Amino acid sequence: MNLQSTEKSGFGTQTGALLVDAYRDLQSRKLFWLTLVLSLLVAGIFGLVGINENGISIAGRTLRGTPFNSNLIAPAEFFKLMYTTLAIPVWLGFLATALALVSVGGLFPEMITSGSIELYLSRPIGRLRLFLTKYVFALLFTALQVLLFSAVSFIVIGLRGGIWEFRIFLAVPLVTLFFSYLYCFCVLLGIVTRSTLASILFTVIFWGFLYVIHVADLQLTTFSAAAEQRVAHQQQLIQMNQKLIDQNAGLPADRRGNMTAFEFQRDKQRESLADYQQTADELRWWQRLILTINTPLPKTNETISLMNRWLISPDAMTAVEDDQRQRREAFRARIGATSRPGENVRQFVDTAETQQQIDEEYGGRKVARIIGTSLGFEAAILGLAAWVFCRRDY
Amino acid sequence: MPDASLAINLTNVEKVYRGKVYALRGVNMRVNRGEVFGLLGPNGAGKSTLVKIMMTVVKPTHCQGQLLGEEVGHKATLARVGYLPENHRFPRYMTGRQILDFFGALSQTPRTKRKARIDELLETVGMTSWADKKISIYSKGMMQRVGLAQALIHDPDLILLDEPTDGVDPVGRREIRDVLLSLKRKGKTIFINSHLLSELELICDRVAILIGGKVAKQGTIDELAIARQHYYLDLSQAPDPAILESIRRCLPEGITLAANHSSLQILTTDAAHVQPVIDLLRSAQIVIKRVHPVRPSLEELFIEAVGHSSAVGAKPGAQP
Repeated sequence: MNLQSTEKSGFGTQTGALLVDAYRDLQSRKLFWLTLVLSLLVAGIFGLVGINENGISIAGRTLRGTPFNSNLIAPAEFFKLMYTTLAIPVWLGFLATALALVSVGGLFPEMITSGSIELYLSRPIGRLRLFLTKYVFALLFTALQVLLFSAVSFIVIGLRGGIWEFRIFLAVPLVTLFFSYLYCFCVLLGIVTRSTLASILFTVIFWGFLYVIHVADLQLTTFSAAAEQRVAHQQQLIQMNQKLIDQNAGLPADRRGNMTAFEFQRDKQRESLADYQQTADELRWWQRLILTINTPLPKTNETISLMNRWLISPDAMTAVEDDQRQRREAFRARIGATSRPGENVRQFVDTAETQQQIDEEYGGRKVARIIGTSLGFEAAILGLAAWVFCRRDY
Repeated sequence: MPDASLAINLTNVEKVYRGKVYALRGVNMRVNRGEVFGLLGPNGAGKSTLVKIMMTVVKPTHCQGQLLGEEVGHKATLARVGYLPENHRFPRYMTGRQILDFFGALSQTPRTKRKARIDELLETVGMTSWADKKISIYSKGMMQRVGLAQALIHDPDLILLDEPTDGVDPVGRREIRDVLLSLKRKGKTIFINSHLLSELELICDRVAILIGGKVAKQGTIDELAIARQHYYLDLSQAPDPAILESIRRCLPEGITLAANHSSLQILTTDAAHVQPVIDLLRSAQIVIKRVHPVRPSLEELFIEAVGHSSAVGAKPGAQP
């Protein structure tokens, strides 16, 4: 009993010391505080933005001609939309993450420096525990930054949008999770190369690679859907012409019209259909290939996008998207461009059917798959980093 | 069955790094509890590797042995071991006091005990006035003092020090020596790895000389020096060959004589063997200016051991 309690208190003493050490380490890095202050500043700036029936206002001045107004979207939804489409992906998911990577990227390379690591490993603490404790504390401080940002955003949305949306705090686990996908990679590189600079540099390159894969996935999903919609549209046209030809054939001979033009059109459409089908098949093949490549990789953007899925009501999104589509069509009409889908796949991207298919396909991806496969990647990378850390001679 | 009288008991410790670089080739070493033990060796002999193996920083290729009665590698035992690594690098954002507190906590020392020990140790190593300053402004000597204090913060039974006086001025070295001797009086076991042989000679009960990953010599300095101890006779003139021959004849068998101009060296530790030689010289009207026993210094023993090992081809890092 005595031994057990001694061991427990020793465990707590060590963990507490490592926590305080991580705090002191980060405190000594100016960048950590700079990021924190900037986070609060960015969240505060949201308080200056408002929405009314004429458009968006900044510091009380309305900007006319903006895509949003309070007739189209409720202020509460607008603020949430701003939070999930700007604050999280642009600030937390990009700029603040880059700053956080620079802040905590050196924790492991500096710990394993010769002359430093001996001081840690010569204590009655297991290597794996030391490794995991350091890792978790680095993430904890990232979570702290997101928590403060979310708290200020919560107040801003509450005061300006009139809704006290507690789901905003879902950003804390989600952004921390997103950051952990990158940080585990940074830790592995830091342990292997023992260089802070190399680990941060290669992590940023890896992040860029993940972004390219994400964009490729999004674009190929979009264009596959558009290409399939084009095929469906073409089939409808062929059916329509065929129906007219069939109806004409069913008429008495004296009442039959000249259907040569329709038959010519149908035949041309059939020829095009084969091409369209081939394009759709090829796009779908590439989309599946990218999806396969993406499966074992961490889904940084998709993880961040989950906030959007959980926070914004689909009706509000649909209203905004419909409005934007109508505006685009009006613009095309003004410049004399056709508003009807033509032969180009790109023209099918904007159709309601394609957008619905994309939403079903891309937005319908299961949360368990997005987070599960990403965590699988993190576990593998972290396991490898821990293995190297635990086995290496220093 | 571990021997309770031994603080360190190592048998056949081997370490082979990648590329078949042999750092240690079967080290056997025993350090008694309560003694000050010195480990000497040229650069690359494997001294730091041996210490790092004991502190679980380096994994041995082969190792049988105990530290304070527990197998080498047993993490919990390290709560009773203090360690000052060579060229240590403390986190630069900490103060001296914070370093002691942090590493004391990592050694599972309760807060109340740490608090009491920190001031005491800072006083002992002469760092009280610098305790609350960031270590980034410390000199190398100050770092060593704080390093020694952190190795002692958890009141360990065994203390391993790798070059503890490196960068420390002569006054500081003397203070550190006094600290170590006071620890010895308290019954602590101290294992020092150092190049400063004169320092070791002053405080070590026993030493081991490690060369090319093997223990070349081990024992008390007297034990190691006994084969080289002699009596030195300083004469007013060089004795002629006949007198030298007479001296050789009066010496017991096995005791050798070396003559060098006006000095003689008789390889013995027994003063009685020298008496007939003195009688002979005096009867030959040769003035004896000085007679004194000579014990070779640790440095001489070390140089001799290194020289001998080089002659037999034991080079660090080479394959056996």
